[in-house]
Amino acid sequence: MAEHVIQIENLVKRYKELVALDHLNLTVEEGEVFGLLGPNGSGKTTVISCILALLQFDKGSVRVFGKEMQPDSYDIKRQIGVVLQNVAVFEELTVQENIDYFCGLYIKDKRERKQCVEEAVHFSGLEDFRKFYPKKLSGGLLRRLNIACGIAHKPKLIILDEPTVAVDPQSRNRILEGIQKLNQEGATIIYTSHYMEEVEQICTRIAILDKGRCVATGTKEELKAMIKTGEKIHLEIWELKPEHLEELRRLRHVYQVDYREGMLEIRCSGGKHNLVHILDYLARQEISFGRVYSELPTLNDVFLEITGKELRDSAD
Amino acid sequence: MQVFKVFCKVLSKHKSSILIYVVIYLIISLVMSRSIQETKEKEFAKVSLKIAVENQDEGAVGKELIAFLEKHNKIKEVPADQEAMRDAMYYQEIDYVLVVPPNFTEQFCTGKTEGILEGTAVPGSSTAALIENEIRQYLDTVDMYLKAGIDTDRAAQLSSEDMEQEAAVEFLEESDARPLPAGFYFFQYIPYVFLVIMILGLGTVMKIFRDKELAARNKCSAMSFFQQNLQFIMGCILFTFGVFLFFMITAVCLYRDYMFSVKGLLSAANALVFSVCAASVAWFCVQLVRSAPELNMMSNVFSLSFSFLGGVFVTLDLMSDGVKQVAKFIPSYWYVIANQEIQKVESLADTGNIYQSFLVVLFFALAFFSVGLLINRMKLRTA
Amino acid sequence: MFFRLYVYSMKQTVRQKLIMFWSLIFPIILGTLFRVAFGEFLEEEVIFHQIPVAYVAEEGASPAFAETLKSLEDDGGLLEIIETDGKKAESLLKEEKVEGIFYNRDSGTEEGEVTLTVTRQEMSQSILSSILEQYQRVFHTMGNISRENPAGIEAAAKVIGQQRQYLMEGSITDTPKSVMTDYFYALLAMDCLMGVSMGLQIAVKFKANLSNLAVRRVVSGTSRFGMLMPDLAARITIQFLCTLCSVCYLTYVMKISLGNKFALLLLTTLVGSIVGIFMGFFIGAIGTYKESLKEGVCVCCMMFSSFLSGLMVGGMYRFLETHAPLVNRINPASLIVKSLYSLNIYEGYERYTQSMASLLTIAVLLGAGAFAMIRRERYASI
Repeated sequence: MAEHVIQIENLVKRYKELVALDHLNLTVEEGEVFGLLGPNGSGKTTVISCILALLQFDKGSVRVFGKEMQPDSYDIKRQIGVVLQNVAVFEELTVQENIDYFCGLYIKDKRERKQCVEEAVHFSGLEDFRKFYPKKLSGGLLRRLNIACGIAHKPKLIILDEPTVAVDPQSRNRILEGIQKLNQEGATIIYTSHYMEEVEQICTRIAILDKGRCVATGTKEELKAMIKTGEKIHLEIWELKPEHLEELRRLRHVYQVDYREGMLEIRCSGGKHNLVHILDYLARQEISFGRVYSELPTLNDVFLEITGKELRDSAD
Repeated sequence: MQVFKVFCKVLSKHKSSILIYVVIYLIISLVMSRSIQETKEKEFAKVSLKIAVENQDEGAVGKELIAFLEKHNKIKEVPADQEAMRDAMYYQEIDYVLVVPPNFTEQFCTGKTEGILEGTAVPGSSTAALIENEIRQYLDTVDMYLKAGIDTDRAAQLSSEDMEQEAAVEFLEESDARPLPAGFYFFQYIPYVFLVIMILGLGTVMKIFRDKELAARNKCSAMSFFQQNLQFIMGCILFTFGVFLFFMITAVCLYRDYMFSVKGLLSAANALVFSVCAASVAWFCVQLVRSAPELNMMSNVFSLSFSFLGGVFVTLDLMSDGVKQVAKFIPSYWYVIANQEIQKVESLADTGNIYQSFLVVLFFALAFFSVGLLINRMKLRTA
Repeated sequence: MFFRLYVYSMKQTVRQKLIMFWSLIFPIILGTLFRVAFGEFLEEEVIFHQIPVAYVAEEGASPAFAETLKSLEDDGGLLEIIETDGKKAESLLKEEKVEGIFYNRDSGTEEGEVTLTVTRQEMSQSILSSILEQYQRVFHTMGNISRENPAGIEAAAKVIGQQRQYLMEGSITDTPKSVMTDYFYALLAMDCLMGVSMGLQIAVKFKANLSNLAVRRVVSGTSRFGMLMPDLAARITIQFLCTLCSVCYLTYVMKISLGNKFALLLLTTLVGSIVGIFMGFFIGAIGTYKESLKEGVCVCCMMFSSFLSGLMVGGMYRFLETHAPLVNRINPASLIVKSLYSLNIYEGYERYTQSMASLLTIAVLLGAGAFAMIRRERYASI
């Protein structure tokens, strides 16, 4: 069996009274695009800091490439590329110099480095901005530079912590495509975000964190199977009496009915012909309806159902 | 009152950095007034130095010379060797070393005068020159008696008496005789601290309000420009006046008697006039900078150069005429002039050209404000 | 590897305009201001410009004093005498057209009763008063002689006016030094200590709990000290070059004599720069306080240290030496000033090496303290 790229066992991290990580277990396999999902303050960044041996933790172990991670495990660090939430580049160095600087912290050979820097510049589409100072770059370009600095040395493991915050759609697509390309070239990727579509689009396996614990792991399909919602049906109805709602709720597989502003939302768990049953009922009651559509649950539903709907905001 | 409220809030955020300058200023002005008064007293009183004397001479003149020096100075042993002597001078245990060579009296009496004594002053000590002058005059006097045929003992005795003669110095007005009051020094350094505080404090707020995005947002709001600007200007006036008031209260606490006199009143007026000018300089500076650290830089450049060139730190008397001509184009120069004039004033009736200085400072305030406004408008047009 | 990071660190520092302003431009501005403000002190001949003075003689007053004044006006050009009456003289004095008034009253004696009237107590006035004092002393002497031995008067009178130099200058230095040199030494000390800001930057970009940039660097594949050493070396180099510029500016443009031991002067500023950088690094390494707060602490330390070494108030060193000598032994700026001072004023290198040793000790202590604080490599929180 191939060894795990990352293996986290029983990781506990406390900030004074606050338990940031509560006996967390995680494994990441080679070749995966591993998504870390979780509301603000759920401990995503803390996990990553622990993996990188930046933070002291109270209990548990972190193994990277099968070895215990230590602050001076430079041979391991050399194989990791990190792109953190906040843009971390030298204001005083140009785009090219920044990439070269960080690449040089990993690769000693001059020619090899030159090649890597060149590729990273192309990868992030910064060819026209080589001589620019970070201050002059737009938000999207700055993020791309931030990423280029993290991946220029062709690491085997790439950790991206919300790399697309505040980025326009064009830049974001470019970034996501790039990440997939890196994955195809053989890199293992850990990706955190709270943009569900992104995670759904690129991640092969996902873990959902909440309150420092891993509440669910699996592929997209596995996660979706975990939740109650099997199908969501929307119907445009102009007028609906409360008793109709009550009766709709009593239909087989239906577990939730919402009627708001002429839109009826029905959630069903399991069952194959739910839509037919509903339409049948509406026809019998002579209720006229407009547009109808049905959709399968998204990761967003999974996420909200597992972590609850209340607002999360804390010092993240 | 929204604008005004925000104005105050922004200021209170920066209170600590302003306070640091206030404290530093108070310390410096106190120390300065102390040390300057001390040196002033020294200049006119007889100085007393620690003089190490080595008398190898066996004759009478050497002995008498030392007896003469001993009257007003402390005589010490000369350290054993050159090295120990340097150490003693290095640590200021002695100020002056006088070596009287073996055949000094003999040489002196035979009319040889050049280089017959060896004296060493601590490098950089200005008081040593006074002692050297005393020695020279004393020996001249003794020589005159000797030349006149009076014997050595008598000559030495008479010479000592002659040296007690002092010049009768009178002052034109009684008030001139009094040393400058400590209040004078407090006001002397006011331009420095006002400039720093205005540029750092007021400048920071102005900067924030003139910030491109924020200014745009304010312009889009429903409040009229007139209202906005009125509140903004009110904030500036209040801050300026607040700073002024704070220093005046401090002055009253420290120098009660001075402040409740005509001089105190005029000094306060002078400071008020300058505070307006400093606020105007702050406005001007804000137009030149792009960020807070740059503002900090400006505050240092302006306050230090205005203070040095305007005669705040170093008295104007020491400056060459050319520099003085340049200094006239600096508001702090006129402040300092007014501050000096004020010390001569006895009643509000004869205030002379003090008001003229006030006017010049106010003119500078207007000039800085207008140039600032001009730059501001030009920037808006090009932006 | 070292060299590459060193070059990058240099590039970074040089491109920080504000840091370069404080380390490079500010000392030059201050030096220029000193030069302008103390201009007269440095050019000695200018001190003795002609002093305008009014002379008012009553009828029947002795002419002896007038003759003395005349001789001073003629051969030295020290005085500019305006003979006038009492009223006019007073108004001249009030308008500051003259620095003082000599009144010569008829007292019946040959000496006359001369008084000096002034409105201020400044340099010119004290020169006037010493002229009068000397006159009176000499006259007193002559009076004594005429009573004791009138025959000798002529012989005695010959002594007057001879410029005798009884004193042979003792040799403890061959460098002429003016009081103002102290200010410029203090300025150089301040320049060295300007390195605190750069030192602080090193710490901020090195401790992962201080900046994002540091996080990225710490998780990279290069050892921590492999990154730290080039940083330190680069900042020290830049700071040293800045002080070198100041030294050259003062010496060649402002024409201020900083002594003739140029190489050792530079060595001193190098060591001073090291102390400055390490001081900032040390402050930066303490705790996780905000960068702006640390910057404030750095600037305060630097300015206070400079203040104690006599940058703002001359003679601070002497004052402390009598009241709190310990301060002079441990304050970096004072030690730098003292090193430069002993280098150029005193023969022999003993005192110089002492001060330099103290400086190096401080640098080592600061460095060791900072290293001890950053040695802990995992953080409790970021």
